[in-house]
Amino acid sequence: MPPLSVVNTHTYYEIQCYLHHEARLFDNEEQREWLDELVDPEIRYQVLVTQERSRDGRGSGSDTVYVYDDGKDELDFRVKQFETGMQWMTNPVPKLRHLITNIEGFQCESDNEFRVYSNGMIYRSRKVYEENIFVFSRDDILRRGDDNKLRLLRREVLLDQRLVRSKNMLFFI
Amino acid sequence: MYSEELIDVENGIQSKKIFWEEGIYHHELETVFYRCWLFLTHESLVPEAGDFIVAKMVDDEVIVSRQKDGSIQGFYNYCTHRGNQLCPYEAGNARGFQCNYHGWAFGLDGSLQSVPFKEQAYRKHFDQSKWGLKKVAKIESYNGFIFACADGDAPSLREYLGEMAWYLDAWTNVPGGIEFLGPPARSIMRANWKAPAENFVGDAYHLGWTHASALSVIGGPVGGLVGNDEPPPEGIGLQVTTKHGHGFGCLWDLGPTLMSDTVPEIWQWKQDHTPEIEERLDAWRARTYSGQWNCTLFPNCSFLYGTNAFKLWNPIGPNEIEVFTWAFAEKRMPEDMKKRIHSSVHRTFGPAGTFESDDGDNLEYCTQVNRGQVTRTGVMNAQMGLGEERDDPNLPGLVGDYISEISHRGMYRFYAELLDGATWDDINISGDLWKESLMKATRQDQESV
Repeated sequence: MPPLSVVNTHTYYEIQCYLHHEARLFDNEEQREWLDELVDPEIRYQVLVTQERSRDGRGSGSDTVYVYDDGKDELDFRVKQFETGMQWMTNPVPKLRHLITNIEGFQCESDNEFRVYSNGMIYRSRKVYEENIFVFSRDDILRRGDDNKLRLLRREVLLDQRLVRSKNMLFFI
Repeated sequence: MYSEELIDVENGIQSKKIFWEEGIYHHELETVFYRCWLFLTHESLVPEAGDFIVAKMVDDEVIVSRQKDGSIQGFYNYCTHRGNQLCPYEAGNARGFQCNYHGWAFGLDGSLQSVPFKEQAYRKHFDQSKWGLKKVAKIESYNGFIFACADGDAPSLREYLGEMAWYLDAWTNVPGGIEFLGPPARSIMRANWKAPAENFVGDAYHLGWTHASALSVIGGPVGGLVGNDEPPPEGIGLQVTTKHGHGFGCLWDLGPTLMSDTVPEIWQWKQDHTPEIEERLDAWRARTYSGQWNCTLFPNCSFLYGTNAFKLWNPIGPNEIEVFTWAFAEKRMPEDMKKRIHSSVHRTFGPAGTFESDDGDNLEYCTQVNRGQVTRTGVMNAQMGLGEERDDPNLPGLVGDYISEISHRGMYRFYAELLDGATWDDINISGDLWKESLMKATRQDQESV
């Protein structure tokens, strides 16, 4: 693969705005708007955890656990589940905050696609005493549509924790 | 008797203290977790000689490895020299294990193979042959599922599974066997280990309410369960409890519903392979092959067959567990089908699972409220279906309705027996007496008619 070229300042700004926008939607329970407006219908959305093996890599089988491995329909299922109002864990409203940093943008071979790296942290607090922190890196492809808007085509999130230190990860990253 | 204040077997009542108190937890470690066979891993995750995984038996780490002769061995994961953790990996393949501290090296078979400058440093007062790795007392597998037991007097794994083995054969003993699909997801739940164990052992009651959001999005036949508006029709399934506390339930007709979207061909697969189960076993078990199972293999191993999620609730204290979640499939299924089953399992019951997220709060708060000194003087009720237990001559164990708590009662009956210090001799001698305390209400009803 030829070396990726860095996007221009304007595109970088657009990418940054995109990532901050979706973080705000996630934190404000606007998952439906995220899915409808900011996600490409051909989305592949994955969250990975990896088993800890020796650096020599020897042994049988894969080391990857897919905490998420969703297309548009599966993401839609999750949003609908929230919308039923019967997802008891979301009442009272959990406090969720996505902090996104280390953003890099590169031009893909296709003119309208960009490879975007970012790091991030999610803070969740609920039911007065519960607190969780999740740290991750993301490897995204954003695609520019005919309407000039950026949408998420592929996201691979690498969770920096082998052990999920919580009962669940009921949120998007 | 230790259990007297804690478990009322005949009336199906348990003290809330068993979900919280440190003293009870330590007593459990010495009785329940010492006596019982604990799930480690599946043979399909260590297929080649030298393959190993490091499993947990509560706080003990055990290296489970495939030997050159194809057998499976289990060794405690520490160096016999100064006691350092020996293998720092979760899985891999190795000819042996070398300690990071001073370099003592052990063979795959656990023997101490080499000690750096042994001749010059140790001279004569050291017998290398005596310092091999410590073996687990017992390690066996049943249809590829590997368990170990710390109690050398325990019966064989097959005997321990007891009546449950008869049921398990329906799907674990298929041609080619079962394959575990990749490493487990691992997560923390602030719950006592018995909270999820009893949920999987026989709690069909919670489905329509706890999982209302997910079931209503799925819709169709399972959508009818939402909100527990009406009890499911009689005969929709059944629950079974057994002597050693294992419990299993089967919902006959909605088997692989949760993977319908991702693996639509699973329905046809089950239909195609049902006749062969009937030929090999019988019509009754062949029907369970296409059903949806809940099951706990006492004490802390659970699964949903049909959804194909396999769980281990490894205690890390009285009110906290580590949850291991594996996906499994039949080995003979096409690779692409297995891949989608893998996704489906973690999508429903992994750490971000659409169903898993519904259960977590219930299990945590059934535990955490007992922090309250007065709260934990209370009791829990598992009386659903009391007096409706059936001793069916064709089915091992005791049978109850699908929506009942017969398996909670059966699980806590055996739990109480262990807390009271029963050895395997005591348990074996008692034969079928275990059914009597569970059926006391039934007998009373019969007498009063």
